[in-house]
Amino acid sequence: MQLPGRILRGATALIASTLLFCASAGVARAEEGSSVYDPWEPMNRGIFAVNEFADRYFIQYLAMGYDALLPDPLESGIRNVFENGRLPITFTNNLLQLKILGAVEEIIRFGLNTTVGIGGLFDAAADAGLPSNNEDFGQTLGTWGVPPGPFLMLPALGPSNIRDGLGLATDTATLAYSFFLPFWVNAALTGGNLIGTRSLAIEVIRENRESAFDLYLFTRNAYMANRASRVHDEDQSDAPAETDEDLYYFDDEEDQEW
Amino acid sequence: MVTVKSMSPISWSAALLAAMAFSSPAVAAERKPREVVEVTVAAVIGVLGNDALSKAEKRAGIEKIAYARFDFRTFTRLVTAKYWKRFSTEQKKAFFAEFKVFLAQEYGTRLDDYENQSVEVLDERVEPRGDVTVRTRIVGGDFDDASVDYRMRKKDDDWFVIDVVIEGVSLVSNWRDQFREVLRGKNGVEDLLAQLRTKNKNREEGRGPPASGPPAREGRPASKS
Repeated sequence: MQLPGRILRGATALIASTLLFCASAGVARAEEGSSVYDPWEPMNRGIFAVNEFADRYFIQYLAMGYDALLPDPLESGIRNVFENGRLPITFTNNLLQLKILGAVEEIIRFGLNTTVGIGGLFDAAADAGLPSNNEDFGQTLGTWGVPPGPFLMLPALGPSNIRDGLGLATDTATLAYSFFLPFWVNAALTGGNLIGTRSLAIEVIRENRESAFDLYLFTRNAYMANRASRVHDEDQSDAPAETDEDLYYFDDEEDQEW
Repeated sequence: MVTVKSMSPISWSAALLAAMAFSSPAVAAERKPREVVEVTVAAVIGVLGNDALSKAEKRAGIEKIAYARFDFRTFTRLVTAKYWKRFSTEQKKAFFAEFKVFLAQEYGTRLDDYENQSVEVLDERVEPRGDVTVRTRIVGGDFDDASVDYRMRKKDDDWFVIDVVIEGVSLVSNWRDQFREVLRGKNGVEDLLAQLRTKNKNREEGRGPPASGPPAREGRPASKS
């Protein structure tokens, strides 16, 4: 097996190139006041507009159809199978973040869910008190200090950034079995997974569209904040939060005439 | 069945207590931020888990809880940040009134997705300059393990919510960035007010009248749009 070696070498190269990229990109500071570094905003907004269009007129209906056709237990079963199939990703990334316990737990989870959980249909491990330790390579890079770099809106896949985009590519390559499947099977799996994921968010996205004043900004900021908190691993409560404390203070507190 | 799980046990009576506590500052005075959140969350779960209520009634119920426990004045100042100076007194009042409605509805709309799940109150973290963040976690359902953190600030011997951070996403931060985009335009303040009014109006129309009636909206200016 030379695959792990290849992945590791690939990962190292990725880290190096990401660092270089971010170092050069990081010179220009975020636009005044904005919390997110987004030098390619015009391009990103363009891609976002296309994604939105495709979703409003096509994809969301696929997701609704999926949701309406399949019974809920089957939907969650399918999600669980995909989740279970991500073992190579979660295991590798727990390991790369030196979360040895997490990596071991992922192996046990895989064993339990594949057997007791009937091929991954049921998350038997979670029921037994062993919830997933979901980690991806974007988070791994973040844990090792790689900054997210410029925000990036991906066609079809949605919000990302340089670091997480590279992470996603690496994680996809980690799913070794996908190399042995014909292209159309991979495409169907990926598409099915995306529709399933989208179907979970029907309500949420509708509400986002309703409440956002600028849906692009809303999506971008929510994504970046969410990823930052995942890198930071919110379960370590004693670690200092990465929140910008300035967010919570204002001058002129005497101004009460309103 | 919806239950509240917590490291220190909260019971259903806490939901009842919540309703009382909201109207009695004497009880509130000795409470810690964590207890305030526990009681508030229990009240929210109580509303969400009450199958006798329609979706609209649940929303209205959650909104009522928000009206009692959110520090809307601080929220208002935080989301407008330095642009607050550009508001005239009239505009300040108008924005405050509209934003209050918007925020309460937002909280209600977001939370009514959380069905069939419980909430665990994890712990609290003291922030610089005295705020306290109380961390909670959704257990079960489609949003299993989602984190919802409440940033609390002390005011008049009681603790109030000044931000809700869902899965790392701060409401204050996200609105501030979006509002800035509008506010720095030429007619920024009026534009933002107009957008806010339209949103509130659309939401109201999309919902129909809540059976228990909306809370009083003091000082709400007649909207022309």
